[in-house]
Amino acid sequence: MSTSDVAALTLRPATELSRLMQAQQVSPVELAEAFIARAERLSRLNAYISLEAEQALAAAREAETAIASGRSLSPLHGLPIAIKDQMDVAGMRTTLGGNIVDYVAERDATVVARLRAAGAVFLGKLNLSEYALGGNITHTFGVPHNPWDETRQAGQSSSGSGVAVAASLAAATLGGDTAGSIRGPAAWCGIVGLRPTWGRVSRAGAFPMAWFMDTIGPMTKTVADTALIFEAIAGHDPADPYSARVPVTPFAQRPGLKGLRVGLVRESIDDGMASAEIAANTHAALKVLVEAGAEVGDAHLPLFASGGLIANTLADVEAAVVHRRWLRERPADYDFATRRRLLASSLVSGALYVKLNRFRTLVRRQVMDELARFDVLVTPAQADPAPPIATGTGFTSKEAVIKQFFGLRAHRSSFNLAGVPAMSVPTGFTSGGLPTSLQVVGRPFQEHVVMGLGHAYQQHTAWHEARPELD
Amino acid sequence: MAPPNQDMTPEQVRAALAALGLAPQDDDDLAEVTHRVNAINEAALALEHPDIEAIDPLSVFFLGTEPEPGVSA
Repeated sequence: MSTSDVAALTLRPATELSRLMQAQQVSPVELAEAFIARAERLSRLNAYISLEAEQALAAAREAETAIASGRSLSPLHGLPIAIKDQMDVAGMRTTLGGNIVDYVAERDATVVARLRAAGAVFLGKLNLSEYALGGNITHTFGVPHNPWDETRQAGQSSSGSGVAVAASLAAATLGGDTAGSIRGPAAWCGIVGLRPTWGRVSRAGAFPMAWFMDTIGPMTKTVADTALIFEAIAGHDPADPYSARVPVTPFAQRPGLKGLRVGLVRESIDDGMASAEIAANTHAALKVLVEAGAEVGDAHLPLFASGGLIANTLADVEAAVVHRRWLRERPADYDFATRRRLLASSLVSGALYVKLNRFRTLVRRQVMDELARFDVLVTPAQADPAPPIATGTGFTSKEAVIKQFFGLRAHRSSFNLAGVPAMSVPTGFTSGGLPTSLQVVGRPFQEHVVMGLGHAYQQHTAWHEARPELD
Repeated sequence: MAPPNQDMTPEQVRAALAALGLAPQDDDDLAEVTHRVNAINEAALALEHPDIEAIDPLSVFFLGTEPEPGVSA
């Protein structure tokens, strides 16, 4: 295969690359070289913190030999994947996107170990909002740029993971989602991002933000790609004390769309809760689902608009405890917005924390009650398309904080709080060429149903085949 | 801490942080931290539900013993 032909393959879904490698129509080495060259050429996007060409090519050569000799480990063998720099990869640098941590990991995070055992090739570590918090204005390793409009934000906190997939700088990536950090960047970058059920995927070897909501999941071009990665990383891990012992239902056992009950959360879209173009694309996506046999009805989550307040405050209190020592000893090493956020959440009272956890239980009840009426719930994944890259927080009053900070992630927060699986799927573009996405939410441990709906939608649409013009 | 219906002043925020061994870096830090603290308190205090006192403040949901949807926790 010519160099230009291999370069063009970087634009294709991971599942297609897997098939080509397994059929020995392209070699893992050729593919790794093509992704490395593209990542170097598009370094201005600041997707990577460290691109590890030497390690990647060594692994690719081993994969090439294994596949050629009939010893392929799995469909992932030889697939070039990149990892959010929140998770350890043995032999690679971990920075968490900030100034305080910098070490070479001695062992893999469990998710990385599982991908490695399946034969994946690791290209390097990806940029993120510092310490996976989101909201920082300055970036130690450069501001990640949205590939669809480089003046726009890529989302937080798995920004590099979103950029790397959208710009075809890796075949697939891993992100982390505490309060929307996979689905948010996926939505703004026009790719697929799955937040699994809390406890479904091990967090061992990943730096925590909030232990009771942290999850790790795939970010990919298609839902089928997401299923490929998810099935490799999901399942019980004794190294994570909150890892569930629930068997993983294979993607192959997903239900069809016919008769699937889909509940549109009205509070996510009515009364200006989503911009007009995003609301229109959401309705257009539902029309596709109805025409394919799904039954769409109205769902209601009365606490939906309060989800951002509850989720962000609870998560930030946990983060403030995690960061307390550094905040005391090295406050100047944080981005100013991160520092202010952690200082403020250090002052949340115990009584308020308990009250918000009670509301968390209420949110969970409301979500579960609606998931009894419907097989899945849907909302826009983001209320607005990607905004311009920020230069300040704009928090000049408490009213501004309430509006901007607590409202920003409300569309995803109810489902972090409920611990249920949720996925972002591209639904088209705004008139300005920015991606829009649908969030699909399922019952606990029913990722196959969530992915089933997303995959079926992609069989009837072509939004996932659009690529930004970057060269 | 200030009464629940009153905003904290920057000096009260500075003192509360100092009690934890924390400090703002400059006046801009202090001003924004104060806005953030007051925003959290005001927004959280406005949250109301008739049954809230009877609800357990759970941090973790079920794991491997997940009940069927519709069975309230």
